Order: sequence, then C-alpha cells, then structure tokens
Amino acid sequence: MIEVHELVKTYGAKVAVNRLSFAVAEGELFGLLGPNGAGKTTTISVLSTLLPASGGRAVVAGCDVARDPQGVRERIGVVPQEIALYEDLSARDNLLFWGRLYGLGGPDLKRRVEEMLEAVELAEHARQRVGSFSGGMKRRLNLAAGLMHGPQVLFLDEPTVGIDAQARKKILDLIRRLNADGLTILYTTHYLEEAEQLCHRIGVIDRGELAALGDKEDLIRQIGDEDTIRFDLPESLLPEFAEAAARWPGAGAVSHARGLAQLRAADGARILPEIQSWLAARGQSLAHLEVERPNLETLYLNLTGRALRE
Amino acid sequence: MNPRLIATVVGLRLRRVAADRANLIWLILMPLVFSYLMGMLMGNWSATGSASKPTFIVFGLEPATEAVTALLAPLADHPDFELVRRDTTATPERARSLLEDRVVAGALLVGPGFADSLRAGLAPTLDFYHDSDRTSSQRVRQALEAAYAATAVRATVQSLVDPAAAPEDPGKAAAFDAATYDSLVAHPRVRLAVTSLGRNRTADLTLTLTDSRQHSGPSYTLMFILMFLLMSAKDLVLERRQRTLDRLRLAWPTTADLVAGFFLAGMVVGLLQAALLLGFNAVLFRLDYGPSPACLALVVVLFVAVSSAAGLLLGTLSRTGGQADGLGMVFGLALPALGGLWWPLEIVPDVMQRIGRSLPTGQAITVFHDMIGRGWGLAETAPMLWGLAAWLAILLGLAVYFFRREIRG
Repeated sequence: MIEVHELVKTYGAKVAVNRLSFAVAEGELFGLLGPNGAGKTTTISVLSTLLPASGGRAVVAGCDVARDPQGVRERIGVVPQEIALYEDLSARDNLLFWGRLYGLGGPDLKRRVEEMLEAVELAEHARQRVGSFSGGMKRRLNLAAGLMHGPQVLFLDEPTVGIDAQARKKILDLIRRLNADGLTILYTTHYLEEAEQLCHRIGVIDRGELAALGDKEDLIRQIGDEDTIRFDLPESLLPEFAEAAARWPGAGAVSHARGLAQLRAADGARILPEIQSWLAARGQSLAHLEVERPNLETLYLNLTGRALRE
Repeated sequence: MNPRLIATVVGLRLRRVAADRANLIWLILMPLVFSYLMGMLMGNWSATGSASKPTFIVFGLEPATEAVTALLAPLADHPDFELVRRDTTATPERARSLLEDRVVAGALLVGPGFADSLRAGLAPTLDFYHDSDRTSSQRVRQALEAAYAATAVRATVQSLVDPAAAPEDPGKAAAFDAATYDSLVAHPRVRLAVTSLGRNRTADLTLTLTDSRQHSGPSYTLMFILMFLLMSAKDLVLERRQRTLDRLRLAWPTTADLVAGFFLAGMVVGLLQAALLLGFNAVLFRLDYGPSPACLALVVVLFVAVSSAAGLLLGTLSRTGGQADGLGMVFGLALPALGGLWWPLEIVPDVMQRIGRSLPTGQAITVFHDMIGRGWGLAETAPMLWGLAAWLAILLGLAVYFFRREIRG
C-alpha cells in the first residue's frame, strides 16, 4: 500500500530524509520510531504530497506521489501533530467543513459526521466549541477530521503528544479498531512503548536514515537475544573477572563502562549466583546491580547512540 | 476551479468573522463613529470651496412670465452660486464656448414656450451645462430641481383648479384630488438634462464638496475596509501555523481554489461592509453618491478587491502573527493618511496630491469626490478606476505567486 524507495528530502544543504526505503502492506499498522528531528514528519509530508521529494520515489495506494499527487490526496487521510482544527467552531461544524472539502454533501455528509463523532466519542460534545475541549478531545476530533472521507491509508503524526494517559489509551484503542477494520496506517511516534504495543512492524529512523526495520522480535534479534548485567567492580579486577566469566556457560563479552562491569549473558538470572560467589571469594559484595533485557531502547541506543527522548 | 469548494472556503471565513463579535466593532461601529465625528469636526464646506461664488448664466428666456419668474427666484438668491446674466439670444454652442473659456461655471437653457408647456400639462426639458472642474453639479442640480419642482407643480395645479388656464380641457378642475397633487409633487414634470463639460483633472482643482460628511462618509468606509482586510492577514498566518492550511491543501481544493476562496472571502466581507456603511451614510447623513450607480459599484468593487488582495499578500509574506499585525497596522494607517482618507487631497500640496492619487486609497476617494461633488460618471473617473485596476492586478498577481510558491514547498 505504501512503497518508499531511496527517498530523499533536502532543505538547501541540510538533509532531512536520506535514502529512506520501506514498504507497508495493505492493512498493516506500521510505525516510524525516532526522536524529535529524526525526519518522521518530513517523511509523512512527502508521502502525503505536502512537500516535494528531492530524490527517490514513493507510491501510496497505487499513486506516485510526484506524478499523481491529486490521486494520493484522494486516497489518504492525514492527522498532523498539531491540532489542525478551527477552535472557534463547534466539533460538528469542523467536521462538516472538512467533509465538504472532500466533496461530501447532503445526507451523506451529515451521516458521516455523526458516525465520526460517535467513533471518537464526542457525540455529546458536538455543539461545543473546539476551543473549550481538553487536549485529548481535540486530538480525537483531529483524528476524526482525517477520516471524514474514508481514506485507504491514514498517516498519523505523533497523535498522542501532550495528552494524559487516559486520553492516550482512548486514542490508541481507536487506532487499533481502525486498523482492525482494514485501514492501513503509518504511525510516527517517539514513544517507544506505543510503537511496541501498537505496530506490526517498526522502522527506526534517525537523522533521516532508516537505522533498522522489522517487527519487535526482529529488531531485538539485531542486537542479540542477550541480557546485559552491570554491577560495581574495581577496574583492576576486570581482567580476572573476564577470565572467570569465560568459563561460565552462557556468559558472553565483558566490558567496563561508567565504573561498572558489564557482562552479556544468554540468561542473566541464571548467571547471577556465579557472579555473587566470585565476588564473595574476593571479599566484594554485589552492589549497583542492573539486569537489562534486550529491548528497543537498547537497540536504539546501540544504533544511534542517542536516547529516544532526547 | 471548483465553485462549490471555493464557496465552502468563503462560507467558513464568513462564519468565523460573524462568530467573533469584536469584528462588528471594526466592521460597522468604528467607521460610523469616525464618519460622524470627523464630519462634525470638519463642518460645512459650502462657504469655503472658493472665495467667490461660481457664476451661472441662464439663456433663452422667454418674456418674464409668472412661471419663469417663479423658476428663477430661488436661484437668484442661492448661497452657493451667483446668477449674473440673462441672454435671449444664446445657443447650446454659445453655452459650451462660455464654459470652455471659463467665463461662467454653468449655463441653463430655457427653451421657448416653457411656460405654455407647463400650463398645458406637458413635461418640458431644460438643458443645463456646467463645468464640473469648478463647481459641484450636485449642489446646482439640487437647487435647480427644487426650483423646477415648485414651478412645475404650481403651474400644473393652476391648470387643474382653474379651467380657464387649461382651455383644451375645461373639465379638469373636477378631476383634481389629493392623490393627483401628491403624485405631481413627487414626480415634477420639468426634466433637467445635465451635461458636464469639465473633465481635465489638475492638481489645483477646487474642492467641490459642500459638506465634510461627503468626504468623511466614504473615506472612513474605505479606510476601515482596508484596515479590516489587512488585519485579516493574521488569519492566514494562523492557518499556516496551526496546520489547517496543510489540511486544506490535502483536501480536494486545488491551489487556485484556495487562493480564490481566501480572496473572495475578503471580497464578500468588504462588500458587505461597504454596502452597510455607504447605506448608513446615505440614510443617516443624507449622502448622495452622484448620478452614476455603475461608477459607485465599480469603485467599491475595485477598492474592496485591492484591499482583499493586499490582505492575502500580507498574510502570505508574514511569518508570524506579530508581523502580520504590525505590517497591517502600518499599511492600514499610512495608505489612508497619504491617500487622502483622513483629510481631502485637495488641501495638501501638489506633490502630495500626486503621491496620494497614485495610491489605491487616493484613487478611490478621488472617484467618490468626483461622483459626489462633480456628478462625474464612469467616463470621467476612468483614469482613477484604471489605476485601481492596475493595483489589483499587481497585488493579486504577487499574492498568487507567493501563495503558490509557498504551497509548492
């Protein structure tokens, strides 16, 4: 449903998207995960025809974004990160307006507006001015406005930014329902847990480049299915510790960082008693212990050297 | 272009303008207050137009019948002009010659048999030639029409109540009734054919308005139309910042639809504002916008279009709401001041008059002055109307260019 091949977008000398390639299947919920400024919004802007690409090719719902932008626009819905609504109008009037701009009219338009208000649980607030809505209500209406014309593909650009946990849950549930009904969704976020919970596949993007791509398990496999164990250890004891660890079944590489020894192990829990015994034999106690399961944050740190929330 | 989508964009803008009650202050209340106060401040101009009264000549008078005496009586003592001669030999060519040589400011031709025609219940037409560079046609026309009306009604009533005065139908006296009398008063049988000869605008033209409200009414209407549409530029900046503009671009309207929608929305707001304000001025202050409705309509449409295009251009070029507000205020005050909306251009130095009349504000108010004070129409005001059209082409062209450039990314 979405095919992106070697996509490039530059602003003068600055490269915002650099040779990005990925594909999204029909009915898939695909996540683009990356920190602020990684190029997620630019990618959506190019795919939705708001910005022209500087290079590469993209096809959305069978239409080339460069050659047939009108065809793309007719088939997509876009929910921008900002609340792109008229706050001085009511929720219903906003949806009526956006519906008319997509060629809807008469009873069809009215029916669609009521359907959308129901879907985003705002029917009771239909006559209320959007300016008086909470952040979560505005986000839901923002989403409804992007769905008015029944698009085949939905671009969601960080739709949960700045709202509380309850409002976020409502939006995520709604997105799941839309996807379950067959809607293809490209979802950008810098919230790792959202990408993990929601998306079938995830593309990790940083500085405009795709750093990794796959489902959650694929991605974790890329950093190896090993736990990382960290604990207090004087650097002088590290060679002796490495020698001992090499004899333990399932133990991997040993390193030292930030005053802590770091051991990779297939199963961290099983190797902990060995470490404790080794330390006790040398009059040391097990202090500042951290056992980290492989996760996307680790992957992201490994790939980019940057934390997602930066 | 898709008219339905354009109408949707226009409708949204109108709804948003109407929803904000503060807009009513700037659209209606403030212009009326300014028109009234500035009109009061500047007072009556009828005695200050020139040091000496314009002179008029009345030609072709038949012997001094009662009807002719009655006709000329109110003209002889008129405060705004002087009746200097009577000449029983003149022709229309003679009248034109005297006007072109600037010997007189106006000439009235009273044809032979005028009194007889009145008595017979006919509708005689009088020819009036005047130099619109030197005097207000409206002022003269009002005086002449009042005098003719009185004369015609008197003559007709005489013919009705005195069968001897209407020998062709002695039974008329019986037909007289109040309704017939009212009808005669409302529609006098004497018609006045006005010919304006002065059409050469020079910088030293005399101000031909008789009342400052003839200036303040249209000028503050124009000023507040321009200000409101320039200040609306901020709406476009907000559309861009809140990404509603992106959402509009992603919907079905093309770039041309969006430009047309924004431009026409400004036009509709401006035209409604103009209609209300000019209407209020006509009713409240008895303003007469001259003999050419077509000229009035055209100057209003062109000025509103220029203002709407300027607002669109400003909104397209401004990056922040603060920029749009600031620039809107600067242009919204400078253009009216330089263009003679605050005070008539006729009272400023020549160089400032030329600068003022090169601006859309100066062009529009000059057309209003000429319509009201000189009785000019489309032909005479064409240079100023073409000037407005040129401004429209330039501003709208630039607005479309920058809007499209922004949308292309």
